[in-house]
Amino acid sequence: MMSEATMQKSGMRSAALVGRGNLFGRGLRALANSRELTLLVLIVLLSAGMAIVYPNNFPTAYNMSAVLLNAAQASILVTGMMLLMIAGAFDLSIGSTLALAGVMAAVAFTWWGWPTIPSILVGIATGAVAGLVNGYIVTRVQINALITTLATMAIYRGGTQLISGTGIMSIGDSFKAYGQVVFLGFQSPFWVALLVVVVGWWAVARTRIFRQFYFIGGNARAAQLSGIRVNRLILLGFVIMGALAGLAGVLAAARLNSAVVSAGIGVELSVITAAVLGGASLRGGEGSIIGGVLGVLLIALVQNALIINGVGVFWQNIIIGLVLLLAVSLDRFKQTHRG
Amino acid sequence: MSAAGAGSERLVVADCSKSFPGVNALTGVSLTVRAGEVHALLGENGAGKSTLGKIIGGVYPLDAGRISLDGIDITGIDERQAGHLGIAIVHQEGSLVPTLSVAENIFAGHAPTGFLGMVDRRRMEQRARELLERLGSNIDPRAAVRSLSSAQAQIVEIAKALSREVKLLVLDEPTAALTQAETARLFEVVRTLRSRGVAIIYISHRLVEIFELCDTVTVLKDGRVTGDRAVAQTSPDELIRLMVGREVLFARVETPPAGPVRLRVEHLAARPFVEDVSFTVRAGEIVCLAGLIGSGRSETCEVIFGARQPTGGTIELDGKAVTHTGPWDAIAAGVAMMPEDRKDAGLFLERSIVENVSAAVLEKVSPSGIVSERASEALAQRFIEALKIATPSSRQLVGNLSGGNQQKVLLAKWLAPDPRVLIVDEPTRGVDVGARAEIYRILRDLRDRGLAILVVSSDLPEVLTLADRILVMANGRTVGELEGATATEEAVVRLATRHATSELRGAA
Repeated sequence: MMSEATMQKSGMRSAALVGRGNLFGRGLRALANSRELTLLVLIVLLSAGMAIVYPNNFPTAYNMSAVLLNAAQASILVTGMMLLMIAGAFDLSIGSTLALAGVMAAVAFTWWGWPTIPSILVGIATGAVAGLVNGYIVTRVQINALITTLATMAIYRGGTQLISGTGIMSIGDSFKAYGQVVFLGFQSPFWVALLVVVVGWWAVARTRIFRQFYFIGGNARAAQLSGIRVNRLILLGFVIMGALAGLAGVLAAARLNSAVVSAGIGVELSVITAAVLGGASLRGGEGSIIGGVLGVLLIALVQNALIINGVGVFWQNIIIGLVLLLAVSLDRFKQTHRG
Repeated sequence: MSAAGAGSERLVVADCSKSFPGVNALTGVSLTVRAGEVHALLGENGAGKSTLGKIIGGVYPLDAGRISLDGIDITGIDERQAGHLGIAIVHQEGSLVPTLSVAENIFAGHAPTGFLGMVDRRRMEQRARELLERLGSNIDPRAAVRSLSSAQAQIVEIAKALSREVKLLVLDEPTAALTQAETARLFEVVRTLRSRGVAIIYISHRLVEIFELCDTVTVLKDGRVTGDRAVAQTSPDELIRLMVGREVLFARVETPPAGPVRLRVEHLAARPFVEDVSFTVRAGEIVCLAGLIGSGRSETCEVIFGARQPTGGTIELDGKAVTHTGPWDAIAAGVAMMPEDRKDAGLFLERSIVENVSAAVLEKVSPSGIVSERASEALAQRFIEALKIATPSSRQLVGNLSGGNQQKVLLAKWLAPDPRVLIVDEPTRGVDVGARAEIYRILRDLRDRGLAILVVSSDLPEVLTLADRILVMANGRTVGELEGATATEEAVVRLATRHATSELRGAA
C-alpha cells in the first residue's frame, strides 16, 4: 500500500513538472478537466470567429433566434437522455415516441375535439407511457436498453403510422400557437426548453432522488447493496425521458401545425452524440445536464457556421462526427495524464 | 490406491517463488511428481495451491526457481508451449465458451482441418466422441456447452485437456461443482489416466478426496511447503495440523458479557446455496462464520441483508420476525452489511469519500429531498477522524486510496446508518497489517458499545482473534459452534472439512 501511495505522489510530481515546462500541455489539461468548460470555450471561440468573419450574417438577432430554436428540441431531449446515461442506460426510441406523441395530441384535438391544454397533456402522457413500457421491459423483463429501445423504436413508429397514415395536417390555430408564439424575440420552444433544462440541471445536481442516478451508473451492484432502489429509479428515468420526448413531439407538431409520422427520425443519434460530447459515457456514472445542453449548443453552432459557409449537408455530418471523436479523445488524454 | 505404478520423475519443481504486489504467494516451494501418480496439493484458502498449478501450466511466470519435465528444463515457458509439451490444466473456473459446441470447445485452437484449412467437422466430432467415451461419457459432441450440467461441463474440460497428448494433468478443485455420483465417475477417469502413466496433480482442500484418490500429498501453508507425505502413511489429523497453525499476529482481547439476542436466524434456507442455517448474535458480541469457500456463508449474510431472497426459515431482529424486500428494508430495520468484494459490490471508486460515506444514508443528508453538501461533508469528516482514514481531502476519489483506507471508507459507509446489527464479510481482505490491526480495534470498540457483529472470514487466525463465538458452516448448513476463547484452528478445520467431504455434496 505504501509503495502505491509513493508511486501516486511521484506521478503527481512529474505531471506538475511537465505542466510547468509546457504551457500548452497545462492549458490543455485544465480544459480537459472540465467538460463543461471545454465546451464553453469552444462555443465562445466558434461564435467569436464567426462574428468576425461573417459580421453581417452570424451575429444577428434573426440568426441567433434560429440557432436556439434548432437547439430547443434537442435540449429538451438531452435532459432526459443525460439522466438515463448517468444511470448507465439510454433510449433509442425517442424519435418514434416524439412522432407518436405529436400524432396523439393532434388526434385528441382534431378527431376527438378536445380543448388545447388536455390535448397537449394527451401527447405528453403518451410519451410517458411509451417510456414506462421501455423502463418496464428493461428493469423487469431484464432485456438490455439497446435491444429494448431498438425494438420499441420500430413499434412506436409503426403504431404512429397505423393511427394516422401519413399524419395530421392543419391541426388548428389555438393548437399551433403553443409552438409559434414569440416572447422577447424567441419562439415558445426556446422558453420551454430553457425551463426544462434549468429544472433538470437543478434536480440532477441537488436533489436526493436524482443524485442516486450517479451511484447507479457508477456501480449498480454497490448501489443496490446501499439500499438504492435501482430498478425503480431506472424505470423513473425512462418515464421522464418518454414524457420529455412527448413534450418535444407536441411542440414540434404545434410549431409546424401538423403532426407528421416522420417527425424525429434520427434524433436519438444526434441527442446521444450531444450527451457524449457533454461528458456522458456509455458506462454511466458521468455527465451533467448542463454539459449535455452545451453539447447540443455546440452542434447547433457548428451546423449554423457550416450553413453560413455554404458547406453541404454531407460535410456537416462528417464534421460533427469528427467533433465527437475529438471530444472523446480529450477524455483519453485526461485519463492518461491524471497521474 | 497405492503408488505401486508410479514411475520416473515426471515433474520437478525446485525452490520456486512467486510474489504478486503486496503478497508472497509462494516461497521456496519444491515438488516432485512421478509418472503414474496422483499427487495432491492441499492447503487452506489462499495457501497458494492454485498459483502453483498455474505456474506449472505456464499461466504465470515464476520469480525464482526451476521447473523440469522429464528431466528437461522448462522454466519460463508460456501456456501455449506448456500445452505442446503435454501439460494440461483443468481450471477451477470454466474455460469453455458456452455458445459453442462440445467438439468445438474440446478442439479450441487446434481443430482438425481439411481442404483449404477448413475445419473438418466430421473428423472433429468423431474424435471428440472418442475422447468423451474414453472418459466414460456419452455427451453429444454437437451439443452446445451451455446446455450441459456443470458435471458434464467438467468432463468436457477434462476432454479438452486430454485432446492433446498429455503427460501431466493439473486438476484444480475439480469436484467443487459435482455431485457425489459425478465425483465418483471423475475419480474413475483419474484412475484410468494414472494407469496409463499420466502424472496428475490434484488440487483440493477436501481431505476425504485425498484419502480416496491420491498417492502422495504436498501440504502448503502461506505459500510454503509444510509437509510431503505418502497418503498411505499419514492421517487426516496430521494433514490438518500441517495446513493450519499460522502465526497469530494479534492478541485476543477478552470480552464483556454479551447482551440480549439481537439477531436470531432459524432454519434459514436460500437454495441451492443455503440449506439450513440457525444461529443467534447478541448485542455486544462478535460471532464469526467460518467454513470453506462455497459453504454458503456469504449467501447467508446476503439473505439477512435482504440482498437475496430466502426459500425458507425465519429471521428475527430483537425478537420480531422480519422479511426484507430488498437491502433498503434491512437498512431501515438496522442491519448493515459490508460486502466481501469492496471494489465490485461495496464502493463507488470513481466518486469521492463524501459521496461514498453518504451513499447508504441519503435520507439523512438530504432531509428535505435536497442534498445538503454541509451535512454530507460533516458526516464524512466525522468518520475520517474517527476511523483515521488517511486522505488529503474528503473530496478524494475512493479509487485513489490504499486498500486499507478503502476498507475504512466502506466501514464508514456502513456505520453511517447507525446499525444495530453489522455484518462484515471478509473484514481485512487485501489490507496491510497496520490497517488490519486498526480494523480489529474498531470492530472490538463497536462490539463494546453494544453492536451485534457477524463476521465472515476465511482467515482462521482472524476468526480466532476476533470471535466471541465461532459458527462453522459446510454445504449450506451450520455444522458446529465453538467458543472463541478456547477454539483451535484444528477444531474449526475439522468441522469444516469433515462435513464438506462426507455428505450432501450436491448442495453446490
